[in-house]
Amino acid sequence: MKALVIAETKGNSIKKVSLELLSQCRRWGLETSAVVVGSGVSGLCDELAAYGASTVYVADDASLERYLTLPYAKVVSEAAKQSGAQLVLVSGSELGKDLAPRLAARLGAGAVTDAKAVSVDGGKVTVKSLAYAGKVMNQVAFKSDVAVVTAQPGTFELADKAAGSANVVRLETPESDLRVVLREILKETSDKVDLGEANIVVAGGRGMKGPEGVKLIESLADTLGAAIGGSRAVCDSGLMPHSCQVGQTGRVVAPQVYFAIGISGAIQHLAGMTGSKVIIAINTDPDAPIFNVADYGLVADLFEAVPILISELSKIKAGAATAAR
Amino acid sequence: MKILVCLKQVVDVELNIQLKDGQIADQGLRYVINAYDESALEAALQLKDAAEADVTVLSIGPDRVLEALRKGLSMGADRAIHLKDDAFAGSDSYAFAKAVSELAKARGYDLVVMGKQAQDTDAAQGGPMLAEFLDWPQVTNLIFAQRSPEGGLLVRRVGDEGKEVLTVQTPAVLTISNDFGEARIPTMKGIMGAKKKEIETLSLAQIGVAADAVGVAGSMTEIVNREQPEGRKTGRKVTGEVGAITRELVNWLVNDGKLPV
Ligand SMILES: Cc1cc2nc3c(=O)[nH]c(=O)nc-3n(C[C@H](O)[C@H](O)[C@H](O)COP(=O)(O)OP(=O)(O)OC[C@H]3O[C@@H](n4cnc5c(N)ncnc54)[C@H](O)[C@@H]3O)c2cc1C
Repeated sequence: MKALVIAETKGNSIKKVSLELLSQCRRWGLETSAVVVGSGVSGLCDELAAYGASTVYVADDASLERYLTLPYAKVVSEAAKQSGAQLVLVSGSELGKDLAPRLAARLGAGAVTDAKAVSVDGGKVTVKSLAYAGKVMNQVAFKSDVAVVTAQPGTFELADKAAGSANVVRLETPESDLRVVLREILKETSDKVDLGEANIVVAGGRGMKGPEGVKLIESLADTLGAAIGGSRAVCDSGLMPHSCQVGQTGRVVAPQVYFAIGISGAIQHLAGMTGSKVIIAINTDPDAPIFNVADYGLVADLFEAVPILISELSKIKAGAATAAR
Repeated sequence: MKILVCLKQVVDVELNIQLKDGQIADQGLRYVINAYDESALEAALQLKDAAEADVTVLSIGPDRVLEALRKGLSMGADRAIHLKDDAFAGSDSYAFAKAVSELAKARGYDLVVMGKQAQDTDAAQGGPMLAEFLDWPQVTNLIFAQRSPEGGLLVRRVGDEGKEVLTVQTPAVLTISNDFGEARIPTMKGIMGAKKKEIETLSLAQIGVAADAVGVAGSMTEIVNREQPEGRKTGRKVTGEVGAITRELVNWLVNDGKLPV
C-alpha cells in the first residue's frame, strides 16, 4: 500500500508529529511519500527522507509561506494524485483539521478525524476514533479508494532517524486565489514550546481567578520548560489566549505530564487531555471530577501549592545543574 | 445576503450514553442543538443585525428536529427548512455535504454557516467538504465575522499560532467556534413570532439528490464497530498540610522518573 504524509513545518523545521506519522508508515512497511508546502522548505526534504519518505513532493514559494486552504489544497491534492496514495495522513492541528476534509472531498474520499489507532491490513484501512465527548470508541472502515486520516501528536511513536535520500518532485505554485486573503496573524503562541507537541503541559482554570494566578501558572511552566494550557473558562474570559485552550473546542494534547490546576474537569476539558501519560491535579474541591482522572491529586489552594512546587522544582534543577558541573 | 445555517440535533453528551447491540441505546437520551451550530446561528444573526440579510435554518432528520428549527426561528431566523427523508439515515459528513451542496445551489445562498464541529462526532468535516463540493472558499474555526467595507466579510479565526485576520469573498462556507460567543436566548416576542413562521419540509428528491447519494450508500466511511473505552484509573488524592503534600508530590514526580528532562 502507498501512503502520503502531509508534513507541517514550524520555524525552519518539520513538526515532530509529521515525523511520527512517517515513522508509523515505515513501521507498517508502506511505500511512503511526503508533501511539504511553504516558503524556504526545500531544504527539509532530507529530514523527511530520514524518517521514511522515499519521494518528497515540494511546493516552495514565498506566496506559500502562510497556510491558506485553497492553494494548499491544490498542491496537496496534486501530490496525492501523483503518489497514488491510498492512505493520506496529516496532523490534527488547525491546519490539518481545515485541510483534511477539503482534500478528502476533492479526492472523492472519506475522512476520519483524530484517529486513536489505525490498522493497515491487506490494503484495507480501519481507524478507531472517539465520539460523544470520549464516551464511545468508533471503529471506522472506508468505502472510498483513498482514506484521509488526521492524528494528534503522540498518537504514534517517533522512530530513529535512518540514512536515506528522497526522490524530490517539485510541484507548481498555484496561482493566487484572492477569494480568501490573510491580513494578519496575531501571534499568541511561543516559538519555544508547541502546546500540541510539548512533553509537559501546565494548564490553569478558573481557579486562577485573575492575572496573579496566570503568572503563577506561567512561572511553573517556565520552571519545567512546559507549554501553557487553559480551560475554556479562562480562554473565553480573555485571561489566556484561545490558542491555549485544551479540550473539545481547543487542542487535544497527550504530553508525558499534564498539570490541571484550578480546573474542575468538565467532560469537554477531559476530551482534550485524558490521553496524557501522567495527570496531576490541584484543586480546592475534593469532589472536583478532575480527581477521577488524575494519577496524583492535591486537594489544595493553588495560590499556596504552586509557589511551593516552583521553589522545590527550582532547587532540584539547581542541584542537578551543580552536579552536572 | 442570503444565509443558510445548518443546525444539527445531537445527543446531549453530558448525559449517560450506553451501547446496546453495538448501537447507541435510546434509553435516557436527550437531543439538543449542537452547541457549535448555535454559535453559527448567532454569527449569522449578528450579520443580519448589522445589515440586510435573510437567514434560513436547516435541519436534517426525523420530526424531532422540528424542535431545533423552532428554536432557531425564535432566536431570529427568518425561515426554516426541514430536510426529511429516511434515505438520509447513516450518512457521514461526505454524504451530508453532498446533499447540502445541492440545496445551496438550488436556493442560491451567499453564505452557508455551521458549527466547526458537532458535539457527537467532533469530526469537523462537513463545512470544508461542502465548500469543496460547491467550489467555494471556506474559513473554519471563526470567532468573529462582520461585513467588510471592501465587499465580502472580515473574519477572525483561531489558527495554530494565534488569531488570524482574513477577508473572504462570498459565496463562502464559514464554520464557527463556540468561542464566537454565547448564542442569544429567544425572547418572548421571538417565540411568539416563530409560531407564525412556516417550516418548509423537503425530501431529497425535491432538492435533486438521489437516494443513493446519501445514507450508507452515499457515505465514504462506515462505522463497523462501537465500544465503550475504559476510563482512566483514579490515582491517589491527598489532603493535608499544603507544604508537606506538595513536597510529597515533588518527590513522587522526581523519584519515580515521572518528569521528563
Ligand atoms: C460544546 C462545548 C465545548 C467546550 N469545549 C471546552 C474546551 O475545549 N475546553 C474546556 O476546558 N472547556 C470546554 N467547555 C466548557 C466546559 O464545559 C467547562 O465549562 C470548563 O472546562 C470549565 O472551566 P474550569 O474548569 O476552568 O472552570 P470551573 O468549572 O469553574 O472550575 C474551576 C475549578 O477551580 C477550582 N478552584 C477554585 N479556586 C481554587 C484555588 N484557589 N485553588 C485551586 N483550585 C481552585 C474549583 O474548585 C473548580 O473545580 C466546553 C463546553 C461546551 C458546551
